[in-house]
Amino acid sequence: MKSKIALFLSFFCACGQFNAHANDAIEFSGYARIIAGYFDQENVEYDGYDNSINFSPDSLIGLQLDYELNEYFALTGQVKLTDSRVSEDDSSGLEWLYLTYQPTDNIQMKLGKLRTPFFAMSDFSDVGFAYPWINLPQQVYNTYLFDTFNGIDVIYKFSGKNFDASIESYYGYKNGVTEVGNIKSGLEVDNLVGVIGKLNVSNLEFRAAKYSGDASLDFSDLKEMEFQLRELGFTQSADTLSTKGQAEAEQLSILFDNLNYFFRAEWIRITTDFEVIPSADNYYLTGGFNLGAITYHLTYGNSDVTSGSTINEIPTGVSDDLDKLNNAYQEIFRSSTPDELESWTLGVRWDVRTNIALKAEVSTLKGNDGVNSFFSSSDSQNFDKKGNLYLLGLEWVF
Amino acid sequence: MYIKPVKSTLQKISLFLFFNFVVMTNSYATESSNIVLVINSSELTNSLTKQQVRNIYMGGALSQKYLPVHLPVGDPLRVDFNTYIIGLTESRIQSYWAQMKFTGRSKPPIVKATVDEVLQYIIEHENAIAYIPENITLPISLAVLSLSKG
Repeated sequence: MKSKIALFLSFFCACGQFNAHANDAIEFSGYARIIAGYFDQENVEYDGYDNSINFSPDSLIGLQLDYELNEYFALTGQVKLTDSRVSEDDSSGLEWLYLTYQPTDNIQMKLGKLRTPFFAMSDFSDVGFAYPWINLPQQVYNTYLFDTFNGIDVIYKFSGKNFDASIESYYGYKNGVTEVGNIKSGLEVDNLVGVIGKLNVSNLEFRAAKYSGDASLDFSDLKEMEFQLRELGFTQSADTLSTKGQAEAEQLSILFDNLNYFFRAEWIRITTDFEVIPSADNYYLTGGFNLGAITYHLTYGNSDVTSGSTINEIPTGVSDDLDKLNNAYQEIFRSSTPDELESWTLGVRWDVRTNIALKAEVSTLKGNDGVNSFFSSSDSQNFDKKGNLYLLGLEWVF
Repeated sequence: MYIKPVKSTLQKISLFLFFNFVVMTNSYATESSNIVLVINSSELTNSLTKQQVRNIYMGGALSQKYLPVHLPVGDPLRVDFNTYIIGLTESRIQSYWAQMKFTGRSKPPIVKATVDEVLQYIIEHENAIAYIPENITLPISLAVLSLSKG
């Protein structure tokens, strides 16, 4: 990854005076971030970081090409180069590829492969220059939802003398993978529908959104277990391992910013029909202030996960085989329990130039006992699910 | 400053002078400044509120109808405009446009190097809008309006 970044940095530096506006119809642009991180616990990983300096989890380069076909139509493609951990969802690195149609001043339609705008910063979470943190609040932005979908997105904008507003809706489908707790599974979502309302009044922005989709998990262990339970007559238990159902998400956020300080808060709720993927209520609160080109900020984030309920249908203590079956059944629920985390993050951002920012932040992380907390530990018995993450970052747009 | 009429376009132009700034105590302004907003519009009865001007410059609903023009980053007039109309620092505005651009939602206003170039652009484009120094000499036929409070 470092070599890829160095290669691209060299390329753009060598281009020197390269004109991003090759002509009026074609525009080339991009973003890059180099992030170094250190997590202070031994034998534990947090979001890809461990107790050695690590660049790969969040460093990336994104390249975008816009081609304006005429007054109404434009084509846009965006690729992201990063390490495989982040791009497991789609190894092509293609983040956006869409046709834009703007029939009127107020309506914009996008058709193609799009980033899912689930939450306030979901569709630009890779563009670190666009927000104050290095790591977006994990409780909201590191859930088991997916990054991209194929479909159509329509935005209708309207305004009054004292407000500006928009309603956005999208429809599409998704084939990819998802990670819930320690389980990684194939995922298909059909009839993905989302509606987003946004209202700006002076320096205040409100956002509310709702999504739903018909989801299907392709997880062989789960399917085998379900089949086995059903064959043995434990139908209630088998039903709890169903791999088809509806998933829904809701979101509310508020942002206030002015010359001197800012405040952000966002709350999300995710619910599903799957017993193995229970519901989550997550949120964060952020306050910060500006001193010249330097921004200081403090964030509190927390999550509340409601675990799925198992059925005590399999008799225990009768035979070893049934005990093993019951243990395997219970283990699926233990592994799939979503992440629960409480965190404080203190950070600083220095806008060195109009397109370059340096950032530093430290996060104190505390996972709840008994559930996964974004941590991956080889010594889970002795790990108290507490630790500090230190990050340094360079953000660049061009 | 003399503004050369361009064809018959000038007949349609109304330059709305919206506001004189009385500089408040603020870390971003060290002296009094006077900026006027000019717009090339055939809708002579129109006025815009501060919120509407902000929305035009920040990719809102009106940003497609109008053609906002900026001076370069660091220009004192741009700093004043950011301070009193947008209400955000240049850094915050740049990060906002990174968000808008890479999600395909909107593009930032065009930038002209000098006030002369800004005026020339406004004269040539209907619904173009820009901020210029108050003390600049404008054609006598131009209308002057106050900033509407909505």
